[in-house]
Amino acid sequence: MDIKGENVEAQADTRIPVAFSVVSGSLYVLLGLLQLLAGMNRIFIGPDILVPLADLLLVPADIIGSFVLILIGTVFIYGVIEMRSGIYEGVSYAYVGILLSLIFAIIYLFVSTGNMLEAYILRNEDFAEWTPLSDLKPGIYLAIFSLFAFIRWKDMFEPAKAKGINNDQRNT
Amino acid sequence: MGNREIKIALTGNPNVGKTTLFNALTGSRQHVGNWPGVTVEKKSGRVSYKGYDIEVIDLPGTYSLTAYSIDEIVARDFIIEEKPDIVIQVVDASNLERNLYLTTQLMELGSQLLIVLNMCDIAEDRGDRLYLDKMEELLATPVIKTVATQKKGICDLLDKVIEQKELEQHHGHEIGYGSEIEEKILEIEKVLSEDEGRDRRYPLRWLSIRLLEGDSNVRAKVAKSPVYENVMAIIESIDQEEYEAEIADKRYLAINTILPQMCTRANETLTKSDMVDRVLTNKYLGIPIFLALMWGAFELTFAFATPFMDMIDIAMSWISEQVSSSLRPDWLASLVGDGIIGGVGAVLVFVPNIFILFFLLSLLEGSGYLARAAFIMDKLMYKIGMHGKSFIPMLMGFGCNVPAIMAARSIEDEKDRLITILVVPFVSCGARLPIYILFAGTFFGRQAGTVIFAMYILGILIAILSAKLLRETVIKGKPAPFIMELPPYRVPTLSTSLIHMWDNGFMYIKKAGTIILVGVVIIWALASFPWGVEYGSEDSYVGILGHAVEPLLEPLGFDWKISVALIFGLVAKEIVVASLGVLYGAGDKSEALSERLMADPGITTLSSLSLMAFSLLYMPCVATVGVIRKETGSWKWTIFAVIYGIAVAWTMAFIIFQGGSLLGY
Repeated sequence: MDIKGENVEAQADTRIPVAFSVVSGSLYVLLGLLQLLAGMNRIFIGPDILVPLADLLLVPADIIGSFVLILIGTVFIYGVIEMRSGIYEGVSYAYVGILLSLIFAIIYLFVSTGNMLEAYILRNEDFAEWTPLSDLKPGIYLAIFSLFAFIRWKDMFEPAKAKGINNDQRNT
Repeated sequence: MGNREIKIALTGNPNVGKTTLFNALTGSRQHVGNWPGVTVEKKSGRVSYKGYDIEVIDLPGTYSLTAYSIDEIVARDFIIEEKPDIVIQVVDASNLERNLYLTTQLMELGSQLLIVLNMCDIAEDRGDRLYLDKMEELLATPVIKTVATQKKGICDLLDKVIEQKELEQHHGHEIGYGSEIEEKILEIEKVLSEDEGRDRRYPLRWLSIRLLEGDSNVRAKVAKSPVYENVMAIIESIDQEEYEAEIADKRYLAINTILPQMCTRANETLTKSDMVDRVLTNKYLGIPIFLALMWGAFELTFAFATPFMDMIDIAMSWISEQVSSSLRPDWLASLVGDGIIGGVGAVLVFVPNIFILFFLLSLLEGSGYLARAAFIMDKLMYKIGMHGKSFIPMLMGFGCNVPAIMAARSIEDEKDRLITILVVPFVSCGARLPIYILFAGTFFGRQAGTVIFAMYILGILIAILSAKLLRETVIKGKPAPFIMELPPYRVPTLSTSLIHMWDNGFMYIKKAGTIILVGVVIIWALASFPWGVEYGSEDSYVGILGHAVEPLLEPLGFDWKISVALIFGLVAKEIVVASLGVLYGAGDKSEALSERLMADPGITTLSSLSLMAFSLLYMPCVATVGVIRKETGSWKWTIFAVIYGIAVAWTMAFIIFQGGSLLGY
């Protein structure tokens, strides 16, 4: 159900979700591409030659992880396209983009916790050089924006009650 | 105490919370999930309340009493033939219109009906208002409000059950179908009443309506009646399809007439569930998101569990060392150390992964995403000749193939169901996971999670391709149209997820203590005899057995030890790892199994990949074969499933190993 038209557009202000989605989506896509490049570089060129900025931005050479970042970014951007076309439901993409980024950040944090146990509790040789920074990656630090948005904008994702899309006066 | 017993049946549309209510009533822990078709068999439990012994039967969900699928037939036959004292229809308060269709049919059946309005919290959160008094009045049936997930309203329900039982009377309303249809109903009723020997459990009006609707099951029941010819003469004189549509219209007309008096619905709002659905069922993003989430789940299953696996591994190695050094005689030390601890311990190491996997699967089921996964895959599934609904049993197969094959009962079309049963064994179950973790972890390092994910995807791809092959050769035809209700998203409760995780994880541990224990003792014996041979050597019985089958498996990159493990894996896949634990048990006890495998020159990265693929695709286990026989009712299809699986496994492993070798890996 696409809601278009004067009433909804007048009631539903999508400027903030659009702005957030543009910034978040772009960051996810750009860092995803950088991660993809780093992954391809590692396979085809070797680990000795580094991709510029990859080290600075803590981008690992992980191809599958790069697809996840690009996917989250695409979800945000898709929402921008819909919202810019006047489809209020495009805000759904911002909401799901936030959820996906948080889900994957939680997954990465659990994986990192596992690595920490290997390094500090089990003293596994493979993790001798592991530090918490070793697992810090875009999938984790970009989710801080999503977490902020989720907390700060929670009400915004229930626009029906706040913006009057629900016209049932008996219940309001 | 005979009159202090009450038998109640829980019926209702699929996914309205019948099993959750059943668990709340009886204290059982039956499996629940947020998708239609979780329950495919009737389940029974008991509750003692205020001096009454109440038997509760949980029936599979059904949209109407015109049963199409096997699970719906189970539900209908029970209500009609077993005649429970009270039929409780569990109704989804957030979807009254559709749920009341079954109510109209149950009222016609003359059941002592009691309506339970479940999920009231969802309806009220949405802004709906429900008027229970009016509902009771209009339906002439008691109505109780519950929130089964929170055990709210359970005592009220039991009080009402007792009250209804003591009343021992029922005055349900009937729907009028218009003069023309009513005339035919009366005509058929009159003819049927002439048969003195008729089954009096079936009300005549109900039978007549069902016959006018063209219910083949009811027609078969009347077929032996001496008045059958006369009944058929009436049926043949009408346009049956038109009558069927008209009867359904009249029911919906009645529902739509009373519905506004029972509740006021909030206007359409953009709920969170709608928002999530809009994205997750998007035609471009739906499948990539599904794949990404699955990858995340397997990454977590492997990576987060690794330290816990290592802890168990260290403990097992320590115990094994202690046993070997302290137990006497030597053969007993070898049996306990190399055999039992080496074998069972090798399986127990993977308990953390199994627990995590089942926890994540439970979240997937409880959230309602499973139904969406089926929805987004439907287009692809239809193209390759499979029913969209088949994807749910396939995803269920990630846990265990046995309930997954049984879940195919909710598929109405027999051919669709048969194809689903035959291809579900290709879906990787929890029992195969230890094999992947062992070999991917040993030979693929940090990429292990991705390799494991690839195995699960390979299983699904092979299942889908096999379905296409079957559809174009032995089971020709087009899949039936896919109609499935998408349940609202819910945040899965932690307790339900933990219970699901524990029940399945514990089953794995139990298996380790039973069938796997027996298996490792047998393998140890074969590895130790004849007397005097070196343990696990090529001269032992196990070596002879391994060498006998080795020529068949050598082209796949497997040596005789792997061959033996795969043979014993026919019983249960966990035994593959257990067998390797026994066969590689000799030597330094402080070394983990993975280290011993790494040190074996007979196993390479390529052969480990080939082994993972073979383990994924060949016959899953004896229990799965048994359930295929039971569900297909045919030895022919069962044997076909086993042989086909082995052939596909061999071919895939051959392609991987020989192809990889040619490419220089």
